[in-house]
Amino acid sequence: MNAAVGHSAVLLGLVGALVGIAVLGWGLARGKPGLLRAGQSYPWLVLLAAAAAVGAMEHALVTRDFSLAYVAQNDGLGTPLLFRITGMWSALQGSLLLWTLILAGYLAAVAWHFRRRATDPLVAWATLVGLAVAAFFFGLLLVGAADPFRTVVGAAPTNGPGPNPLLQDNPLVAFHPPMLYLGFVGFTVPFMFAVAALVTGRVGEGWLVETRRWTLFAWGFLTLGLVLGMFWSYEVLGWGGYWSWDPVENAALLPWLTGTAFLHSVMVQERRGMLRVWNLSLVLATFALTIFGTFLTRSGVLVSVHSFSTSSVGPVILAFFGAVLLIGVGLIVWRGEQLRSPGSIDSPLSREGAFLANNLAFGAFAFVILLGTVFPLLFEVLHHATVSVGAPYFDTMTAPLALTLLFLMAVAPALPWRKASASVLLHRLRWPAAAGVAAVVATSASGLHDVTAVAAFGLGAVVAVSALRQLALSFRQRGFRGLVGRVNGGMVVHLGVAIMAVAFAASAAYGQRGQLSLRPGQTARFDGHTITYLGTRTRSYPNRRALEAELRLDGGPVVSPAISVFSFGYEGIGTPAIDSGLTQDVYLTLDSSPVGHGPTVIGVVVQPLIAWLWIGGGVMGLGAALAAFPGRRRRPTAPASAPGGADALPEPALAVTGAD
Amino acid sequence: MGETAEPAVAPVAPVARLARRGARRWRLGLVWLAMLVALGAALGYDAFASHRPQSLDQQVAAIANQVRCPSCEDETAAMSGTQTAAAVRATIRQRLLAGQRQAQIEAYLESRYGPGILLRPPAGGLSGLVWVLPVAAAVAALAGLAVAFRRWRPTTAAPLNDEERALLDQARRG
Repeated sequence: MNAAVGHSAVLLGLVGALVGIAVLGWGLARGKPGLLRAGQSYPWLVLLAAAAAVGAMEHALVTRDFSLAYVAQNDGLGTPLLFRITGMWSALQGSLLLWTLILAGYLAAVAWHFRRRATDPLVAWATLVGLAVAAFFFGLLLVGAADPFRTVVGAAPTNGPGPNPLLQDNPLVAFHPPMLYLGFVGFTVPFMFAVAALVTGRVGEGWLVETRRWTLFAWGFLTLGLVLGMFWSYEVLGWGGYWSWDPVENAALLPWLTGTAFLHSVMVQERRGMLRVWNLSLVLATFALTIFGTFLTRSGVLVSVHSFSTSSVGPVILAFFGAVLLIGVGLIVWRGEQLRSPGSIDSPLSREGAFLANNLAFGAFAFVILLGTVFPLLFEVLHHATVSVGAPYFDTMTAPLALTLLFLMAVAPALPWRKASASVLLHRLRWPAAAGVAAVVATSASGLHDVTAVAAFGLGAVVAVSALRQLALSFRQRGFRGLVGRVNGGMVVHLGVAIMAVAFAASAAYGQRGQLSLRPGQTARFDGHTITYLGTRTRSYPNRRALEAELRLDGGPVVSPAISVFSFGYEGIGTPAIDSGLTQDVYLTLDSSPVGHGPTVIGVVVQPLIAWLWIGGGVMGLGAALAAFPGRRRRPTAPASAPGGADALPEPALAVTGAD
Repeated sequence: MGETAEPAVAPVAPVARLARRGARRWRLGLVWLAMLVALGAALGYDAFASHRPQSLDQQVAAIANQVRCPSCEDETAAMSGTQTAAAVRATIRQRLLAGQRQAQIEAYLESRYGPGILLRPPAGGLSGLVWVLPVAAAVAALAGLAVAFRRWRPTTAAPLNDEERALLDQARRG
């Protein structure tokens, strides 16, 4: 029953998307407004189909319909309800279903938002492209290995193993993947409009303005999804870290990097009409990289904690990725002549100069990560030998880029458009710089000498004060309305980045980790903390049995890191106990259970400022929301700030909306 | 443009204004000089102080950070709590105590666990590309940008005529 509903729904989605493409294509070719209007109802049909498919899958999971292979593999009698529901995105097939649902949701939202402009060829083409992407994903769901509604051969089993233990250990699994997918899939919308702009030849700033908020929405969710992923890694995986340069983490970071570059360079195009090809390329790259990430995660070419089991969908996704790139680049080349812009950038020392440098740094960042992630594969193919590219490589290569980006974030908000004079800059940056110097001197005086970390603290302080200064200027002019809109929301995002940068640097440079071998009743000291081992006890949960170590930390309450054993022969997984505070986290793990009367091994990780990673991530999300909030409308012909002697002019608090 | 963000200069005689501006510039310059000196001193001290000899634990961690935990996915031997990682750390410690250098220990680990065990790709041979390519790409991009700026060399704008200057003054008075 569930299988039949699910299969029909997926088929309906595929057919709906294909018919929608045909209707829109016919309407565009013949210039028939009626067909274009009719075409706008297909996204709703597609959404209905995706919702029905997801409904069938959730129904099967919740009611434990083990006749579906997916349910038999990812659900069990002992699985709690929450993890039965999240089971839908605990494995390859179901996660593609979630992706399809979110995509259909975006398409319907676009159709609703542009409902009065259904006959606009730009909107029609964008919808057509969106439906084509949807058709691909519905089609993928019908390919054998990716089919979530495949039934088991023979009699249905009476029980199943439940989701991967790591995915039924913490409720975060209900938030991290959906947020991440809202981010990934959201970048389909700017991609749709970019392709539509290229096809229709309306390659001016129109499509950028149309999709600005959509892009921001996707970016905000991708940011939150990534931060939640770090949080999940920290809370669940038991190694005390939050980012391991795992290929799949990298694959998720790549579209974030190009998307962030795009959010910045878009302002140069809106303001100066320049960088059209570059912006189109960034949108194309961002979308293509989300598909590439899907490929890396689902093809089984890479082994990582995230990768779904090996399957044959890899080549299909790779082919789609190739097609996206080919069509995108082809269209840009085809429109080459029209994309030329007469504008020019007067001086590197200007807001637009800083945006260019920002894009260069983000581009280099993305290149390093892409290269490092695929290099082992290429090396194996070309050289028939193994090489690992891991954290030491990424740390070494990205640290200078990250510091460069911090430096740009520190300086750029104070730079006027067109051209800055040194004296203006020195005047505007005096307080941010003072904060930075104070941070460096204070860190140095307190005996912390890691140069990279000290540089990050100093630059982080400059970024924060630079952003706060801009917000204060804007607040003084407009009150609370001065805190919304792109530039001011962006400054709040910068504040979040500064907080996270300091937390990254502090935890990376000044973390301490060790292992303690303790017998019951013994006490050990580690990095200023006392840890008393009281003993172990076993507890039973519906889906697992946990061996918990009882530890008294600093004479306070008892904390219990555990090793959980799930039924069905999964390997035991550790659950850390974390004493989290604003200055420091103490992270305890049960590394090996006692054998007979032998000692128990307790892992201890003490890291400063971890909590500020999550706070900074929250501030970034808040900033994205503020930036998407409708600010004041800008006159389209806002002149740039005066060139050269800008020191004689009062500084506009909102540099981008200076003409208001 | 609504209110001004920063206090506007009061209308004073041009000479006095220039003098005041000059004094302000001097002060600003001194402040920046002082900040640069303080920054240089602090960073110099950091660079000096961070070259203290490392403890054995720190040396073990520094090497273990470059080594994959043999039994895990994507974790370093320094980070992982598994027994295989503990064994790698113990090996590193023993060999450090026996007087071996980092390169020797890494060579041993590579011979014991295979070439994939080291997380830092070797700088020589084909794998050196992973280090060189980003640098080459960055240099090429910077060069491209330099060429672009050269091409964009600002065309000097014609000087303002009297009418435009009057308009500008009016705008400045707000």
